[in-house]
Amino acid sequence: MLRSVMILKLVVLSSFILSNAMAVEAGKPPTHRELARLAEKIRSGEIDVGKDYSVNEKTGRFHIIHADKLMLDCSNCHRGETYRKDYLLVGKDEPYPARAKGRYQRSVCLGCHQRGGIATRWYNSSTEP
Amino acid sequence: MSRLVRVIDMQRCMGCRACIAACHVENHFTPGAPWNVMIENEIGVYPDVRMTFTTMNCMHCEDPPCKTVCDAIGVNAISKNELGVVLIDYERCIGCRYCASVCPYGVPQFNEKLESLYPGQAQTAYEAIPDEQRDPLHRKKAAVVEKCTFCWHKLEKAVTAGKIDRIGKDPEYTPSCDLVCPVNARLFGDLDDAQSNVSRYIGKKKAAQLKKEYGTRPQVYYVLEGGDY
Amino acid sequence: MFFPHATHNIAQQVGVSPNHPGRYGLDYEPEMQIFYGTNRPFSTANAREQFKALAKTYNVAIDIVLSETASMADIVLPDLTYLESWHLSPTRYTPYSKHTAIRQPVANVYNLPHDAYSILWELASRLGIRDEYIRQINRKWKLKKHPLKPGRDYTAREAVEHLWREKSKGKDFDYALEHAFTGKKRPAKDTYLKGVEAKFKGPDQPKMHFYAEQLVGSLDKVRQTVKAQRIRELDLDDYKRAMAPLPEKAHAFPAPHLEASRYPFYLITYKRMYRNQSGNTALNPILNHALGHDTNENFVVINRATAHRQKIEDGAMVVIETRVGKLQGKAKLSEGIRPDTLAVSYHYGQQSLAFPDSAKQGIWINSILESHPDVVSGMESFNDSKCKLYKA
Repeated sequence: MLRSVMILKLVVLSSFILSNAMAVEAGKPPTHRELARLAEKIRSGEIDVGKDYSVNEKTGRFHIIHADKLMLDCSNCHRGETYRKDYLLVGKDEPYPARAKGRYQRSVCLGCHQRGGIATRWYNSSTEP
Repeated sequence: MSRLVRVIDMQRCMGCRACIAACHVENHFTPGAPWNVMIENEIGVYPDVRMTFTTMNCMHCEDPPCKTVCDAIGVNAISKNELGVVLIDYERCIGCRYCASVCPYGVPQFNEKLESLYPGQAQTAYEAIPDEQRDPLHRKKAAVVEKCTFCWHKLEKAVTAGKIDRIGKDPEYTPSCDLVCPVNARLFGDLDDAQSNVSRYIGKKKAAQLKKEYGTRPQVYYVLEGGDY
Repeated sequence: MFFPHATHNIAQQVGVSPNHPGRYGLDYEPEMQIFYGTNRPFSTANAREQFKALAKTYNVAIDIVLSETASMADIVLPDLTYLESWHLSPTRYTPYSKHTAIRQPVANVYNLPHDAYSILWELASRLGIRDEYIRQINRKWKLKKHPLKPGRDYTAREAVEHLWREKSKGKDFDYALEHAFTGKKRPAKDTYLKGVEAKFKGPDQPKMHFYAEQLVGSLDKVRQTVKAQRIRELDLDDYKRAMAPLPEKAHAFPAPHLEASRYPFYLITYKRMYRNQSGNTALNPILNHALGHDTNENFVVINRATAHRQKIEDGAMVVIETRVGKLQGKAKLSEGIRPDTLAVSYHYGQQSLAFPDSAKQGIWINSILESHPDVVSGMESFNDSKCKLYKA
């Protein structure tokens, strides 16, 4: 089991390195500029992220983009097993898949997906005064 | 022009969940996919302690990220209509859950499978009402996303009858959750009318939108404990 | 049967007297019990004793669901619900308004020919006591201007019509059918002092009793009844303490506090608003799992500091043990409760075999509450059992 996981990781890693002729050094977190270029290539279709529009962690574009191509660590988004008591989220008490790494806080998405960020814009600028 | 908004006064809400019961009965609730929830939180340390109650439903944002992401992948299942109501077309939805991922309020509910109200038992007569006798927004489907519609099936009647000005005033043209609150903690009306109940209430009680940092400009306002800023 | 004492006029603890009829002053063995619209044995303190009493008698239950009481009945007569039957529905007045209202049937889903009213009427007829039954109804319902007349039967609708006319001072019943309600606001002078001077002012007029004075009279009644009925199953000292007209030190320390020294916590009950004690709401999926993830079971509410001391985490299973029994429940930590007190809402953990599993979640706290009079009110106490708490 462990062996097959290692092989899968190596395959993903090598495909990432081979398919992205960018100056991303293995073992070092990518710079913002590198991530921005990568994001643009994903948007333009130059980098194939599949056609499975789902959040499935193995085959879905959501995890392929974030985990496989951008190589974000799971803990970047998934934070622990429960939400804070006062966290205002409609679905916060939904049962969570046992295999998943834990709940995620939407504020993490803001860093890249807000106007002016490096990823596709889902959010406008803050309207806080 | 009308811009429909809801105001929820957390200083008045006592957490009875009557609004949730009303929503669930009105909108053919199926287990696992609530359109309206109550989030309770205890504040303080014994013996100085109190509760806050926040009911949450769709915020019907003016810049809804759910729609942005749905359009971006070419599915176009989410729309925002002339009264500012954000709706999901179950026939177009592909169940990808991207909308649920980007909503800062966690509103879109993926209905994995349609379960009956009584767990493990057959559907009740109420649940077995055939699709053709239901409003399209109540034609529940498995593996698609659903959410609060501001009771569009009621608002639409006002539009058809040319009585948009009666929305939030007449029970038949007002969302059911807003009708049943026993402590008048919920209001519904037109924000573009400066004299409407909601406009005046928002101004007087300094009601605010939740999670403004996302820039979504929600159409649900809260009178927060302690006021806004 | 008068004791143990009752509250809310529904004689909650009377049901245990068949267990030891002699000790409760009965010179006969009760053979039969009839229940209407109550699940009392399930919803009173030390509830298992009630079920022992039910096992000794022949039971009839009139109810809309197969409650725990109905499941112990030899005959169950289905009742019509409030949407299926006629009722005077006055609800409670406020100080500033008076009103009268009726409910009328909108459906009869199961085509039931009878409701509780017509069952009791039929029973009175077959027993040959119908006319006396009518006289008692007139007295109890205070029907003076529009009484039911002996010598004939009345349907539920006719009975409601008489009630409406009496309470609404002769208003036409057609108005009730159309509007269901009539009411008026009361001015302040009517609200507080109307008739007071005429009744109480001056020499030789009766005195208005304070609550403390009423307690003296109540204790006298208890003593007289105990003596007349030769009741042995009652601690008169408890009642004397409970009904003392002036505050005593004992009032601050309920009886179990003095007696159960090895049980460090108080166990109190309360009512969550999503259910009440009837089986009807336990079966309602909207009120239970639809209103939120936390509504289909009850919890043992524990002060956070207390829980930390005992290394109990939120959601962990804990045992509550009283002198009557013990139960396992799920801990819910809160800052909103005293450190020496545990609270459990009292209408979960249904036991009826006719109920689905979803209605049986949570714990039946009444089964381990002690049955004794409250030291302040003298009524049956639900708020001062002593208990132990430990991890399951």
